[in-house]
Amino acid sequence: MAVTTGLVQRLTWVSSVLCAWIGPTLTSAELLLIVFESSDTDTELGFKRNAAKLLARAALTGYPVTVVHGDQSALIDSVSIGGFNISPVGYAVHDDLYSVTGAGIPADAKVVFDSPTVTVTVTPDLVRPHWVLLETLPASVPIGRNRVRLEGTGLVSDWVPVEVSATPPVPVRVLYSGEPKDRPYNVVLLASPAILTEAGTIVADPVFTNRAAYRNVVAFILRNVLTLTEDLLRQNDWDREMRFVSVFDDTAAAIDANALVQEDPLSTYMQPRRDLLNSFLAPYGETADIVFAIHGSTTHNYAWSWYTTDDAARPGTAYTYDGTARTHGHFPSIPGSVAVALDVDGVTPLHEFGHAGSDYNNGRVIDLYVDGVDGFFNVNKKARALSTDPVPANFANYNGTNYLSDQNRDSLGYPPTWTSYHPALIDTAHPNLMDNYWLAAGGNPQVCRLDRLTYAWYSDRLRAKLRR
Amino acid sequence: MAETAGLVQRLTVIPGASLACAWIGPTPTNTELLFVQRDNTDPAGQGAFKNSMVDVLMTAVASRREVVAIHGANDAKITSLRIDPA
Repeated sequence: MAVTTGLVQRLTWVSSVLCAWIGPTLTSAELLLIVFESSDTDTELGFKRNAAKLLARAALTGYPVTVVHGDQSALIDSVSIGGFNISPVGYAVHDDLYSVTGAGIPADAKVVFDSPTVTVTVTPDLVRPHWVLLETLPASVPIGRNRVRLEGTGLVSDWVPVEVSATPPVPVRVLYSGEPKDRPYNVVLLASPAILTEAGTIVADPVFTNRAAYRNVVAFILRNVLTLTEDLLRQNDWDREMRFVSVFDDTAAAIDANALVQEDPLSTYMQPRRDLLNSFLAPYGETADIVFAIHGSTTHNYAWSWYTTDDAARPGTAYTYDGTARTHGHFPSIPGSVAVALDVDGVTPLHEFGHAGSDYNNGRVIDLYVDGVDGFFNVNKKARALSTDPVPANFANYNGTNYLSDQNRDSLGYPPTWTSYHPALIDTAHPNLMDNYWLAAGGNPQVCRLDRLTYAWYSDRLRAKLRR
Repeated sequence: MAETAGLVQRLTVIPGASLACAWIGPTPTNTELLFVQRDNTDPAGQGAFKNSMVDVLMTAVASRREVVAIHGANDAKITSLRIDPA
């Protein structure tokens, strides 16, 4: 068998033969054929038509093809399209999010758009080894046919043809499609169409008036959860298996069913309305594990999270905590959810994920910057009977391993009357991510990490969901 | 049934086998190989339906749009295809 690869330079339909000239230029192209025989069955004719269509698509879009044919024959046995070493994701639209996937992408990668008139190089707002994200596709990239590639230390990727448009951004943008399997772990970032106010009225969410700020927050959240010192989600490149989707549908009506956040009447917190999330996302074809509901309120701009409710009727991975049998559920019945405002900062998204990704019934990860515990099963916090009681040496036994307590309570100088305590830190030089991270040394909360027990518990929980 | 969502990273049409192979996944190196195959015994309507799925796969390659391929839990044969709103 012989293989010919190149651009489809010309296609000619003559009588019952399709002639395809394939190669780097028309003069150096190889002439290959698809012959529609009168003796062909309908099935054979159908797939010859498919091969012809594929050649036509390739010719019209500038995609190279790979054609297999006999060593001494011009008759085409198969046609392939694609096969680049990077993959632009979705439509390329000015002033919209845009991502490109690949493998081994270096931290200094740039996205290069090339057209007959200009070359535009853009620095991504998020770089992971398997994808890069542009918060916005700049208008300096010409409308129409471009080609795009990634460049960085040790990487010069293939050029991939893309059509750039200035049409309105798409409502649903898959940023990274996740492991190619049924139900990859799905993180959805969405603009809440409406807000349920303290007064009980539904008002349009101002986030729709500030698309640029929304995009900025999307990129901020993703950098927060995927690139800070705490590597919970990106350890072993786990995020390579996760799906990330943005939903900004400004055609969604400001009605109760679309009011995905609500003002807390007693504070400036904005809470996600978790019971609405599954039904809101269903028409878009998305089933989420975690939802970041981004809103534009300036009066209720404190972030709030609700834990995931795992689906107890579906499979799970068993574990023990202090001798009690529990389960890391593989699927959620209600996704974990976070409400964040457009002015979100610090390590708030990662901290809030710490809550949202845990489970109502089989392990909550709670705040450490307040005293006391509720009556639920909390993974990362316990309380002594009296504040004068010593902090126990061992915090908990998780799956047969003893985890120590933090005797210094993050060294944050909490009142001596507090009874709560938590597991020993991974990094004793900085407060726990679930504590008051604003008090991190040097004022840099981005270095804060979880404690050892919570990290182990959460890693197992995420692994169970990723491998479902 | 299982659903595999992703970009069509590569598509091969093999007329002699009435077969279209689609590599679907988030990156070129992380894909699932699925296929559409027409059988000689397929009624005309079924054949046309399968051809139209191949058509969509072709369009998805160049448009960089995600597809959702539905197939058996332990079977790579695509039985339905979906394109969700974008």
